[in-house]
Amino acid sequence: MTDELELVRGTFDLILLKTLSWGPMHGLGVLRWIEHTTGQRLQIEEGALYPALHRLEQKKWLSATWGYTENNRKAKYYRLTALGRRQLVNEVSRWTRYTQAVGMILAADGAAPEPV
Amino acid sequence: MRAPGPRRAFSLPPSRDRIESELDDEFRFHIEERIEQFMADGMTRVQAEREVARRFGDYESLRSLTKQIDEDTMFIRRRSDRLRDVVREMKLALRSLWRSPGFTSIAFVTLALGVGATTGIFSVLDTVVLRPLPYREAGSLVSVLHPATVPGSGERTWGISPGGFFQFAGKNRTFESFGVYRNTGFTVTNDNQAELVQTAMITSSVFTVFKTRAESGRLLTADDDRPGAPKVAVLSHEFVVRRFGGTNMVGKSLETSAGRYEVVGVTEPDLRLPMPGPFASSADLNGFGVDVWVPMQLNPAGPFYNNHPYVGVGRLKPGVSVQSAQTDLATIFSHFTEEMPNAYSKGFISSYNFRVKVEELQRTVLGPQLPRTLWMLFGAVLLVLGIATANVANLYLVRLDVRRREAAVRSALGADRVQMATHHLSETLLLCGAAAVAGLVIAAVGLRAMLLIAPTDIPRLSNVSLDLRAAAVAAGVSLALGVFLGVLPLFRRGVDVDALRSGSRGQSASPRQRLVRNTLVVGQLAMALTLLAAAGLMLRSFGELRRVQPGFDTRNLLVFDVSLPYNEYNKRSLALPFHQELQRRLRTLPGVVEVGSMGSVPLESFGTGCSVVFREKQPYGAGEQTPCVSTPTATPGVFEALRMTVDGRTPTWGDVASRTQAVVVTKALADRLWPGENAIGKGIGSNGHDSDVWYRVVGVARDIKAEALDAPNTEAVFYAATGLRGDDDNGDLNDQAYIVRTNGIDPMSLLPAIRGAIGELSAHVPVIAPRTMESVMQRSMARTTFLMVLLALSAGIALLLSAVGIYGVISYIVTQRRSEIGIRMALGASVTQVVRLVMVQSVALAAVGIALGLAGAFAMSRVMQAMLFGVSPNDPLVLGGVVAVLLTTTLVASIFPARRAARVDPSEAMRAG
Repeated sequence: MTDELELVRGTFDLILLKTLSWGPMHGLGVLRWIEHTTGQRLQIEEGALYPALHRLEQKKWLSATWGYTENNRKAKYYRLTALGRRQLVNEVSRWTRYTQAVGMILAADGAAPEPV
Repeated sequence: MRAPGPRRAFSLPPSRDRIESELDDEFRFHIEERIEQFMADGMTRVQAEREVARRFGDYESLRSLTKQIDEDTMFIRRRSDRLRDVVREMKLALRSLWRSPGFTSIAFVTLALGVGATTGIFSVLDTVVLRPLPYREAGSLVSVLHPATVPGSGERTWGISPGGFFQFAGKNRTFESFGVYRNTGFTVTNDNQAELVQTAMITSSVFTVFKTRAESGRLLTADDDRPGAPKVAVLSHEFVVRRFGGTNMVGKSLETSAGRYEVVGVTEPDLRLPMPGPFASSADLNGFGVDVWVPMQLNPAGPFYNNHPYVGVGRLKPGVSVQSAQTDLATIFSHFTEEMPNAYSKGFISSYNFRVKVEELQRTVLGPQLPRTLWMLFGAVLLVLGIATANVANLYLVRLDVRRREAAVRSALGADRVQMATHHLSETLLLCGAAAVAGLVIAAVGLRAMLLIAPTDIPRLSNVSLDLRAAAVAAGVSLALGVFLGVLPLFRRGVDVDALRSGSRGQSASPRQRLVRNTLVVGQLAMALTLLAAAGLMLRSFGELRRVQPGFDTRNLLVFDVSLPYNEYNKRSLALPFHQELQRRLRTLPGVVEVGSMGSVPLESFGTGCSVVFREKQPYGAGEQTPCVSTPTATPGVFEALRMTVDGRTPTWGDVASRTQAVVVTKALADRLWPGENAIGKGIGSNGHDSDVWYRVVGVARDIKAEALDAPNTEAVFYAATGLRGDDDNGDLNDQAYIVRTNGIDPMSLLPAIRGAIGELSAHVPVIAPRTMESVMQRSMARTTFLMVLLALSAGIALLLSAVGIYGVISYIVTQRRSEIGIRMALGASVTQVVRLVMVQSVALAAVGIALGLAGAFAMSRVMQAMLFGVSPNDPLVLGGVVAVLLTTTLVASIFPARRAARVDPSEAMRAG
């Protein structure tokens, strides 16, 4: 498991919002979706999912309802709200700009002029 | 595209317990589901459990962290929900008020009137009575005065004598400081401009008593106050600004009619001297705005006479009560006869019931009557407010009935009491809030209008304005009303099943509801009657007062004051020719019929002081009291100018020139001194029985009311300006009030000509305070007028509101009894019978209200007794009239609903029932 990545700070919310943009899911569903999509590359403390989800619920980016799984078990489903969708767009654009900036620094050849 | 969601489970609003159990459910689902997954992947149960626990992390701390987040969420949501509820209810309330403009406008106007009247009168009460006097630590200020029972005149209050000042100031143990003062007029002549200025002659301690501060220079000291000390003066801030444009006056000199004074200081702004009780007549009670302060320089060595010209004020030592100060000074006072035998004989003290009184200064300044009057007015507007509230409560109950179904549905759907209260309160508070704003506007406008008719002698009244305290009262009253009205419907318990049954409507009100409504109407009527009776009594008093003949003709008379500077006219032989010449010249002006002058103006400054008089050859017997009467100096012509009827003759300028001792007395005095005899030719004097100076009565003036229209006939001696006591004795010749009768032209139009005539004689004599005698008389009745107008206004509003109230309730009753009336009409009742049916009901209500109101009126009139004149507190005319007015109002207010009842279509009414 040496290629497992620790979560970069501040990206968990983005990941959760993006995941839920595909439709309402319960907590475990979210986790499975992340595992499936990343090929288990991200190391997530599973229980930490819940404080994060509830915090997003408090911010009204998510709404939660109780529903039933295919096996008829009661589970709490989270759904992205309109507010959350807007937030997702913002976060994505921020993340993109951030990674671009970091990428530029890493790709630089050292010939940039000295600051005066 | 939105993905199809899972099938929803029913959920309830969050609570602490629910948060915990849902959290456990959510975590358990995760863990169990995970374990099943791992076991399906081939782990044993134990392996799977261990793996899940490892992946999950610290269960307990994550659970408590999440729980904390959820609880925060719950509080945030609750708060915003409440806010949303309130906003929603407000919107609903606004819409529902908007949809019933009838109820809304009547309730709004009614409440606004009630709040406005209450706020306005509260402002007056607060400014005049409740607030402390404008001095530092005003609570420990007291007045010291001498009450006396003057034979023939009744209770009087005299000032402190010079000797009394030294006794009290030197021997008391309860005062921090004690001082006396009096006001007088100086003519200031700096820069050759004559101006009469308000002057306070004070002992230097007066500044200590009032804790006055100097704006520049210094205040007066005990050294300035010694007899023979250099003449120094302190000016007021206002005077320096007005007269000298605010230049630094310290060290400069002030030229006055009483000589040259060195200015040593200027006082802080807004300093006024209170002029309590009998001293208040000339200055307004607001205190007298002093221009110049000079030391009195009383001589502690005497000699002391029995004269009482000074206002005494003191500041009590900390913790000393008025009562103990009274005891202290009474002890000192009891030695007056030994300390000053020349001034105070035992006979004088006992026959005048002469005593000393210490009282809080504020009480003395206000007098006993004024606070009572204002409290009564406040009571009156509280009654108006009560009526307004009862009215709106009634209308609101009716409105609630109409909306009973709506409320029933809401409460059946589980709205709790708080939510129902929010619902009602939002409506009533909105209404009352709007009414508060409108009420403040009404109060502001009303106060301005009131100041126009208000008597000038009410202390501090001119300072009345709406301020934060008044606004707080308006807000408080409105809030209380809003809450009261909003909570009213909550007394209905449980779910109103009747109202829920579809189609059921128009059922008659429960006995309890009817009782509440009837009580409100009866209460209104009772309050309205009480107010009407009070207003009626004041109206009759005013009428009686107007009907009083003052004994002189007040029409076409100009009055103004002339003050001769003492430095130029310090002798009778200088002052008298001035007046004689001026009066001769004035008489020749076109439009002038007659001119004279007197030391006091009738109905204005009579009766403020008195002198003891004796009769020649007939010393007063043991049972007889020495009369103390007004003794103004009168020039020939003044009786004619006033058109007083004088039996015998009036003194002439010839009498004055030859110094005959001719005087005129009033009939009231003649009847006291020489009952059953002709007074003409009798001798009268003021120097005791063994005097050798006796004046001769040449005329007896028929009864006049010179002190006040509601006072007994005036006892007075009018001295001709003969100056028997020598040329230095000016009498009051330096300060004369001129009385000019015109041939019918506007008296005030004479002023330019009069100023011209005076200017020709002297540049140092100003015309002071020109006014008509009519205005003097009106001012003397101002308090009665003021109270009458305000009471009449309150009563008018009360009557109007009650009429609205009756109308509303009778209308409602008619609506309630539609089916019954329909049945009666179907059975053959005539229109008249139906109308009578309704009218009987309203008359029954009115009868109960009137009975209660009469009881209220009896109580109120007892409080008012002292303010009434010429009318009994239980005047049958007033009470009868008021009952008639109220009964008529009730009938008129209920005739419309009654006729509406008679137009009921029987078939429709019965079907509706």
